[in-house]
Amino acid sequence: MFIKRQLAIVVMISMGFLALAGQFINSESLREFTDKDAPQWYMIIAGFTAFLGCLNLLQLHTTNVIRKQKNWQYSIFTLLGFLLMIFFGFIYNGSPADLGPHLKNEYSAFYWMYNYVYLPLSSTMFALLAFFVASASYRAFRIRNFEATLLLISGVLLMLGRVPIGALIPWWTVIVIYISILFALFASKIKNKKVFFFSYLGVNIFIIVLGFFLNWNINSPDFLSIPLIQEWIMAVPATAGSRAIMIGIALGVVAQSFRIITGRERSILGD
Amino acid sequence: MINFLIKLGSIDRKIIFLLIALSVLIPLLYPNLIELPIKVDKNTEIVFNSISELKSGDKVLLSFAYGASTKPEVHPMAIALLKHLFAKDIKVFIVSLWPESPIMANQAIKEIVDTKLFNLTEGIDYALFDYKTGGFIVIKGIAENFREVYKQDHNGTLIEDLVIMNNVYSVSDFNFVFDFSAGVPGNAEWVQYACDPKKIPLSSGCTSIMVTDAIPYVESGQLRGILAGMPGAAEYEKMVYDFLVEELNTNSNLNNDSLLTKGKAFSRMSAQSVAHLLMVIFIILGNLSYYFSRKKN
Amino acid sequence: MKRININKDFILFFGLPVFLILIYFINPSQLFVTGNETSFIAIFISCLTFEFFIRKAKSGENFYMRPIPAMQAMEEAVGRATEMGSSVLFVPGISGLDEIDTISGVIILGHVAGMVAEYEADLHVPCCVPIVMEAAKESCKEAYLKKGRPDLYNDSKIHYVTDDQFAYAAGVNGIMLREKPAAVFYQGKFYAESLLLAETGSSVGAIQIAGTGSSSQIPFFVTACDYVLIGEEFYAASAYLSGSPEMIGSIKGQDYVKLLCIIFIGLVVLLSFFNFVNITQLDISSFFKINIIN
Repeated sequence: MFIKRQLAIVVMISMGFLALAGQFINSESLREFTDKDAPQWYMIIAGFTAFLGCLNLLQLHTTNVIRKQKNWQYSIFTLLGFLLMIFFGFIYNGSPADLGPHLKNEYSAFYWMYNYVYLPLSSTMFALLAFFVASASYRAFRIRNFEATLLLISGVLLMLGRVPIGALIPWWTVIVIYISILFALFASKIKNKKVFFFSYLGVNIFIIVLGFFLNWNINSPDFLSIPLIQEWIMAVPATAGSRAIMIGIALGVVAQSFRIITGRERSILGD
Repeated sequence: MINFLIKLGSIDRKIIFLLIALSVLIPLLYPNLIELPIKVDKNTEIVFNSISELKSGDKVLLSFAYGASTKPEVHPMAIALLKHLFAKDIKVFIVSLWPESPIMANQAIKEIVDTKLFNLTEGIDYALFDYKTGGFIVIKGIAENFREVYKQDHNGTLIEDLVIMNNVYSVSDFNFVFDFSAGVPGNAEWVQYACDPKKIPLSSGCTSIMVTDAIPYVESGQLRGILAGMPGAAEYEKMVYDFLVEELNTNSNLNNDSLLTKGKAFSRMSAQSVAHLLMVIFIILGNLSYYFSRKKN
Repeated sequence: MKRININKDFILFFGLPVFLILIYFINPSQLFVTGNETSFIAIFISCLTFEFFIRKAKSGENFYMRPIPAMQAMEEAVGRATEMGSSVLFVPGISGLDEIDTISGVIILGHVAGMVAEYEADLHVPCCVPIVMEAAKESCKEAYLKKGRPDLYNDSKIHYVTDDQFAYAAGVNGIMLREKPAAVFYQGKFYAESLLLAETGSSVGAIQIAGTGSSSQIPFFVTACDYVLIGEEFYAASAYLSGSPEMIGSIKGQDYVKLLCIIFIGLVVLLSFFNFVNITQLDISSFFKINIIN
């Protein structure tokens, strides 16, 4: 009990204070400890727990197969993949290089598996994001309230602005977009549908004609160029929001670390 | 018509997936079907100009911190940058911060060598160093003492025996640092632990998702521009291609009987454009459906 | 009700800080790293503020905590899983215990495990890092024990999947599609796989509660999940769930430190404006440099 509770808390507190002290106290040995020894200790511990993870994986899936539990067929694939890579990593070479450096040698079986199995699978999983982003945007980008509308507009402008097609969108289309947003915000105030429709049409035509008069067709202003709007969104509101969240997160990390270092946050130890 | 629009709101996801797949696949299979002019972003221009300001013989440290999953986005940037650097006779030092990164770096160098555009000698024109575990600790180590972190290159040649390593002891001995990142450690760690404290110019090429995290550093000048995802890679490829076309007959670092190609990101932009446009159309249809169904209820 | 001891606390909250800061600036025998004074003062003030409010909370003062919908929804989600006879899936992120996000995630796991034990639901925790798996096992075991239901604890349900980011996402997606959990918690450090997980969870009809410190992934969770702990809400979650005065006091302290940050930002903006109109010529950024490399 002492090892699990009190000793663990003492180790947690002392390591926390040591790491903090390493930033401020001018001591070569302390800095050596915080910068080299402590991370190496962590990596050694993490390396040993990798064995634990592998044993856990083997045990779980072997039990599934032996007892023919639900979906045990998938466990066969897991075990096969695991054992195959162990074989190619530790036993079979297939390249002129020594065992060990053979992992990077393009003629080794391990490298072949990496290049032709792992790489395409990994890229495929990442590529799935495109499909999921499409379905998520289709579901989530709805004009439900002001914030959702803001999310929709900035999302659409960024999506179009980042690709070459955004530069091809003519200035008068951007005017129509701006006027549509404006009318969408005031739509509930105008009860008469005919008045709404004709005023929307009228404003669009007026602004576009004004644009031609001001030679926007030859030299359109920045606020009518979607790529430039996209650049502004990234440079100003996105940066501001990003900074604010970063600061909030950093403060949260400091507070959480304080609670852990002073031994107040003990639930990680199971207390 | 209105009922059709309302039904569109609850369209099966598989139809959306199919249309997205087609919108990406067709332009990839037939790249000449849609050729769109690429407009260069301000941040890409900053990166290109920063590299263009470097002189022959300058030393640039490249940090490879991406893997197989993000290779389509980041690898084309690496190829384009390497072409740009070798064309200017800049010495390139490559370090790897992810376990997969040495493979990515090797593949990048191999692709450059296979183009036969340059006459490169390892150890003189470029040096490759293997993966070191530790993340930001490695970056800190490079900032303080490069030779303490790396004792030999990826071929096992001792660092003292590498001609390119003459007078290189820490990050301060480099004229520029460029980081290719897809996560952690990445450009933020390079800013915090090496380039900002030591005042070494730094730029980065990263996945599109990471750009919002990196943009505060770009706006504060700690990062000299950024190559944002595949569009950034395509823009940079275009700028480098135009540069190489201009220099092909006059630059002694280039073999003028080699074929110049634009690069993979460039050819993929039409696919990305169509996919984005399709998503916007879906969003508009979804909103119309939402509007009419609310009205109906 | 215990009153704050003015003399003892005066020494602790005023005397000691002034003394330590003076010692830092005097720097006898080069004991302290030069160039980190701003950082030292900032950390010191923050820690003192946390400590002050923790003591205030312990002395009996009640602090208002605004209701966070995601926190209130956690128990509902577990209840829903029990009603539907389905499991609760808890995804603790893809980083190791060296990330504070993972630690926060495992702490929340402990609380969720307690709720699951109380409601007699099933809990499934696929882990990306073996060391996190061990910590998660300890956390859950203790939670079940505290609720008096050690019989319900199933060790095989907290298991290792793989270290690789997308392979882990594929594994967890497979679990979601096969088991169809009624509630899914994403609490920890996430990268690009966040949307893959959240969309799959959405497709199986699960109620999803996310929390992460990765600011770039928050928009994806907001889009796909029912409830999200944004930014520091995630770090405050463990304190919120525990309900202990110490924890709540630290959140209050965090708010005051944030207020200080806002005041400093305002001051810097003002100083920059004065520099711009040539009233002053102060290089403000030099005050905020930290000497990380010595």
